[in-house]
Amino acid sequence: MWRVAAVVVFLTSLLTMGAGVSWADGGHVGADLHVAQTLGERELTVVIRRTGPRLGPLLVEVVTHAPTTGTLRLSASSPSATTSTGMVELGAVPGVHRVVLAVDKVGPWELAITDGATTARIPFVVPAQVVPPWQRASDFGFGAAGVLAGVALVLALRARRSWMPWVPMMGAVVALSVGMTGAALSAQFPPPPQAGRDVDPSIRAITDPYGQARLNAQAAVGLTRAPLILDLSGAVVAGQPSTVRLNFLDSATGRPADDLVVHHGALVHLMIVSPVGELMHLHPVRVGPGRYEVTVRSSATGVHALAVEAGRRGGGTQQMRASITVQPGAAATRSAPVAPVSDTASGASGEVSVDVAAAGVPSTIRGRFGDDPTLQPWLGMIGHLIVVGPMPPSGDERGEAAAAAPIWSHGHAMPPAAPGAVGGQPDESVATFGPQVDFVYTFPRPGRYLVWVQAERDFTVLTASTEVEVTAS
Amino acid sequence: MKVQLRAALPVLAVLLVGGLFAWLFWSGSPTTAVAGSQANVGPYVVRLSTDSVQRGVVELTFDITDGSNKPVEPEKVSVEPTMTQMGHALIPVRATPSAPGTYRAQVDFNMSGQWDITVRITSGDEMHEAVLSVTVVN
Repeated sequence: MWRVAAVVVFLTSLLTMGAGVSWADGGHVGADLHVAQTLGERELTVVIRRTGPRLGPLLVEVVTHAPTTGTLRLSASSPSATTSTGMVELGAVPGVHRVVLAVDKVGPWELAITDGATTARIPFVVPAQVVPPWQRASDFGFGAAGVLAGVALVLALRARRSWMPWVPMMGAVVALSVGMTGAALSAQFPPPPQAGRDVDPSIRAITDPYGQARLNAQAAVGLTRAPLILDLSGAVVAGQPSTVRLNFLDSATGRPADDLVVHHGALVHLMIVSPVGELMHLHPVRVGPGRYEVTVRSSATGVHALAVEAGRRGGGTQQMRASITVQPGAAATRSAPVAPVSDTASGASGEVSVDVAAAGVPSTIRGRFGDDPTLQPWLGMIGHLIVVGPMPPSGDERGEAAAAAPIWSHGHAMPPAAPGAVGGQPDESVATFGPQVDFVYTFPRPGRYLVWVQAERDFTVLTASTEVEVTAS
Repeated sequence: MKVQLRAALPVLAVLLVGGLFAWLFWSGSPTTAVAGSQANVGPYVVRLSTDSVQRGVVELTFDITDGSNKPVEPEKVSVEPTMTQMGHALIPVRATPSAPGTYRAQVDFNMSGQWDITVRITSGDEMHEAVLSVTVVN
């Protein structure tokens, strides 16, 4: 009797060690979220480190790119969850500033960052532990096989009829085949639509994405959505920080479109070319559903060309072009046209050289920033390329010409893959790139183009520019 | 008798395994009730009792409370259903109160899929919009 009991206890202990659901499984659960935010006149990168399904601390990092002082107040909130607040002190040295908040529920959350004048609201998702169906099958299969093998052993020792151990034994064989099928197929299945990126982050989409996908499959609708309409407003006065408002609307229904996703490190990219050829690369902050704001300061008056890039949930990004006329301020002066820019803050200058090919043939654009390989990724990329053209021969009204230019491109140089690296792309704390960043770009038409290259060193964004003459092929 | 019992062994084994499988596997079925959806807007908390409804004419029931869970009765509450992924919207429906803080609205969900329900709450000069998510199934 005690021998049987000992065998049962031994088998039970083996089973409980491995038959349950492994909470570390389930694949990639959540990732760090890097969002660029131009809050007031500060260019920030907000990093929300991955959290969930284990709830608790939420690490938020605010990266500044210029010497600044002040305090930012952060708060993380979600419907029916506890709001958590914290403060970040910004210092004279640009860099990373950390604060720890707390999340206590899975679901859609919002991080509000305020500098006293503007409040940016960044939506993010605290994911739930999701067990894919094939993992359920493999967990069940192997677990049941173990239980049934134990039952069969006990019956073999104790049963009066010879056929009795066969029942659980054959059951164990069936369970084992179910488990092995589930495990073997686990690599073949595509992931379900992700809440927040592909579909709206409702509670159901976060906690039961496979169930949500099954419900959506009955409706046979795709993931993509109608294009965005950009509704631009705001008066900009030269020499003063002015607020420009960008309202994004759904073009099919006219309603506010509050489903923008982070792409290339920001919810919205705004590029502005001033009448003297100066480039501003800003990231409007979300202040309400579908409503974005950015602070613009330009020393030049006249027409400024704008290009806005944003993407909705369900895939695809769009570029919207607009222009804004800056009114003269109290003491307005026309600045001289800008030559290749050197960044005076860090003393490092950048220059752009282009191996120009004919129109329609790839050209190589090289941005060189000093001699040290100490560039950092900005917005996840080690270099940013902006090309606008064809433009008329050099003149004063670059903004108006840029607004009318048919080509406005925004490209990137990716960080090289580090052998054996895990955990995704390097963030701004890695400063081992450059000093040269290369791009391959095909100028579509012959003519004169303005070319800018941006990179980052010592947490400061560097911009270099040049003009290129492209001949017909 | 013995032959019949022997032949029944595989059947018994399959039934045993099948029973365990059904219990474990189907406990995560999509029709498991998810705790509705909630949105906070301004001073209001809007809660929808369910997040999954059948296609066709449905009576939506939702609660509007303030921050401390007390029911509120704003002047006007209306419901604007939109199907964002298909790019179409329905005529807004006025919601009628059935109990303090509980409102009902009849909506004809003519297509299955993901719908956004915008609850527009008007009280005096103030207007707030809360967006809730509903999945319509066949």
